[in-house]
Parts: sequence; C-alpha cells; structure tokens
Amino acid sequence: MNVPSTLKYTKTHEWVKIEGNTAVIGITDHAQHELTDIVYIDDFPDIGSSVEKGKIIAIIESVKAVAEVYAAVSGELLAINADLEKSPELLNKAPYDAWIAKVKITKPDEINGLLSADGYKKEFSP
Amino acid sequence: MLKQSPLNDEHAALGAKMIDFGGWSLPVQYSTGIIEEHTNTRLNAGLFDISHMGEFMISGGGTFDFLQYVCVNDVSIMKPGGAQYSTLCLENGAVVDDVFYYQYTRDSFKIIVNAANKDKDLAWLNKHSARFKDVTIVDQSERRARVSLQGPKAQDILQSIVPVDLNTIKRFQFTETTIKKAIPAFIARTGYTGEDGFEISFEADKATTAWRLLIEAGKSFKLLPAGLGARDTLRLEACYSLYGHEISENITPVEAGIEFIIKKAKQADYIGKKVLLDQLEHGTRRKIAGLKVIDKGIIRNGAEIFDETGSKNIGFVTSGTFSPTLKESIALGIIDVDYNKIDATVTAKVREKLVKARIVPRPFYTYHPRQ
Repeated sequence: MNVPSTLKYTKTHEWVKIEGNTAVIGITDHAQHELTDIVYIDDFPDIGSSVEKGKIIAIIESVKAVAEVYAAVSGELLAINADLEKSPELLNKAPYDAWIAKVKITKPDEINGLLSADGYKKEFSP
Repeated sequence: MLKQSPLNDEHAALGAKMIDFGGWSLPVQYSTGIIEEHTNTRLNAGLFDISHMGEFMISGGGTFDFLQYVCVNDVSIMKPGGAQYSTLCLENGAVVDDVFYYQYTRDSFKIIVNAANKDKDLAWLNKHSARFKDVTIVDQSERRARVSLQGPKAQDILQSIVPVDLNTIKRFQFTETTIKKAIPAFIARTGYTGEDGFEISFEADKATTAWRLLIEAGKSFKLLPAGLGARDTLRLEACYSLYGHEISENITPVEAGIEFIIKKAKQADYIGKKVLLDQLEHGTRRKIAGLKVIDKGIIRNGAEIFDETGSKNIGFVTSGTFSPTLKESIALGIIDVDYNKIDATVTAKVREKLVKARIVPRPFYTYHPRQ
C-alpha cells in the first residue's frame, strides 16, 4: 500500500497536500483499491463556495460501490480537477497525482488534526 | 470464519482482492481490475473460480419424475449429454433458486445451484424427493471444485489440454473427459457471461493442478483470471438473472423475464405450475425492464423507481452497474407494466436525488457464439 510520507491524511481516506494556505485533496491508494474501478465523480460544490471540514465535496462511483469524498479542512473551494470527470480512472491509476479539489484554508488549526502517513497506516492495519 | 475455495492460494498468488460473498472468501478482482477482466473476457478469455457453487448428483429410478416435479422447465425435452436452465419454484410461482442440470441418463443428473442457496436447495430437494421412489441426492459441492472458462478463445484454450473434440460439444451440452490425460473433468458448454465458454468441474484435490494447466494453456491466448466483479458486469450486460436480485422468493420467472423456461406443452405436474401458466397467459402487474441511465451515476439494487415526474413509485432496481462494453450506466428493474414501455423515461432515487433513466430492450449485450 502506497502512503507517501510527504502528505497528510484523514480517517476517511483522503490525502491532503498543504501548499501555502491551500489544501489539495484527493483519495488514497487504499481507498481506490477498496473501491475497485472508478467510473464517475460528481456532486461537487460550486467553485468559490465555502466548504466545511467533514462535509461532502464529491461523490465517487465505482463499478462495485459508491463513496463520499469529505473536505479534509474548512475553507473556500478554489478548484476542482475537471480532468477527472472525463477520466475518472486516473483516480485508480495515479491516486496521488489525481487531485480532486483545492481548498483555501480558513482554519489553519485544522491541519494539526490531520494524520501523518504513519498515523494513517495505523488506522486501517489489523 | 469464511469458507475458502480450494483455489484460495492461487488467488492470493495472483494478487486477488478478496471479498465476503455469501459466506465465502472469493476474489472480486485480480490486480488487473474489473473493467480489464471484463473486457478481456469479451475479447479473449477469462477464467473464473466458481467453486462456491453447489453441485449435487441426483440418481435412481425416480429421478426423472422427481425433477419434472420440482423444476419448472420440461425435463422430457432433454437428451443424455444435454443441459437445461430452470428454476425451482414455490406454489405461488416465486423462485427458490435458479439451477442448471445435466442429464447423463434418465436416472442420473448433475445439478448446479447457487452457493447462498445450497443448504436451502438440498433441504427443499430432499423434502420433495420423499414422494418419489428411488431418488438419491448426493452433495458433492465440497468434494469437487468448479471453474468457468469464458470468452471467444475459450475453446482454443481448452482444446489444447483435453482429448475430446470440443466442436462436438454444442451449447448446452456436456461431456466427461480428462485434462492432460490426468484429471477427470466434467465439461459443459455453458456460462454466465454472454460469451461462448465452458464450465468445468473436477475433484477438489486436483483443483490447483487444473487451474494452473488452464492458466498455462491460456498464455498464448491472452487468458486472464477474472473475479466476481467482472462476472457480475458480464452477466448483467447479457441480462442473466442473479438470485436475490432479478429472481427471489418475491419475484416469479414471468416477472423476471425468463418465461422461456415455462413450457406450455409440459404434461407433468410441477410446483408452481398453476400460477406460472396463468401468469404466462394473462401477464403480470409488474415486469423486468432494461434501463439506461440518462443522467450521471449508477442506480443500484434496491433503489426505488418512480415515473418521469418522480411522483409515483412504480418499481425498484434489481441490479445496476457501469457497463464496460457500452461505457454507459445500465440497470435492471422490476416496473409496473403500465409504465414499462420501451423508450419511456423513468426516475430512480439515488441519495435523495432523482436520476433519469430510459427503458431499453434487453439484453444490453447479445450472446456472442463462437465464430
């Protein structure tokens, strides 16, 4: 299982990359593997709207399952990755390149609540 | 503790992702993934472990009359070496299980049943066999293992390791032969994918050797192992019923659109006959429909179906997925016949939103015979 040590994680299987005051959010390798082949991503909030930590920012449909993607931090939705709407399989092929959303961080303290790579690995290892 | 297939170690070695399927630990996919396994089965060939399914031998002088009584389809039109699809039904016409059986002689049949229904079926068959003289039912499910080799290259692959000329085994026929002159094997030209292919059964302790021989024989034909995920998307494109979805103890074969198993000319009495012949003649209030989702998303088993405006509940989704062949979101549902018209628009409730879908002819993928 690929869990890059440079990223932060949530218990709900999102990864977060902090770039200045922007949080880039995607789903982990573990998440894409559990979901199987991803065929749709949808239900994004409008660009510019405010998102709240723990609230849904996208719905992912795979052949076998449906999953929600949660905002890892609160803030303003700056961008979504439009490539994924055409090529959702990128989430399977390169989960750490296929970012889903960029959020302008408004509550920097929330970053401290995110998991490290080791912390995330512990969350789902037996 | 989940039950394991005799091929469990092979799956692990192939990087399978295992899931709980009706109490069995089985591969949902290998490292290639569902869509690739699906597409490769349509283009080349896929090898599926179906060892979880139940396998009984039924024999004795009362076998023919007994099967005529418990099965909806007409066993009298079969010949030795032939296979037939049918359901076991309740008196009200609803389905106990759907089954395939294979006739050796009038007094000897193999029957393959669904894994999740195996114990229920065995009890059902034993109970009803009591009224027939000389019927013996032997459960061989665990003693034997089963695989399914499906796809346009299936015959070429299998032919390279069996002595029998497979051209002589037509669809819905079977034979007993050996794999590499070493492993006695039952081979039937049947399947659950919409492709040509074979279902193969052998002693469980030979399973690993047989599996490896098949994988090896398939190397020059681009054979890939395929999991339950691809098995489900393949059967759904071909519109083959899945027990607990399109058919169940609440849905009859007529409602499920498999009325071809009900033969008007069948003389023998059988369980459910009165209701099923009546449904065949007069129709039912609800009926299976093929659906293509117009909006984005997948409508899955259990989603409620409404009319176009979303005001009236008219049915429910039985199975839904993304079709790797059509690259569209497809589903099957049971819908009120007043609304069940080709090209009609309906809606389905997904996460409190209504998703539009169009009723289309079944199947989504027409059976593809060997060229």
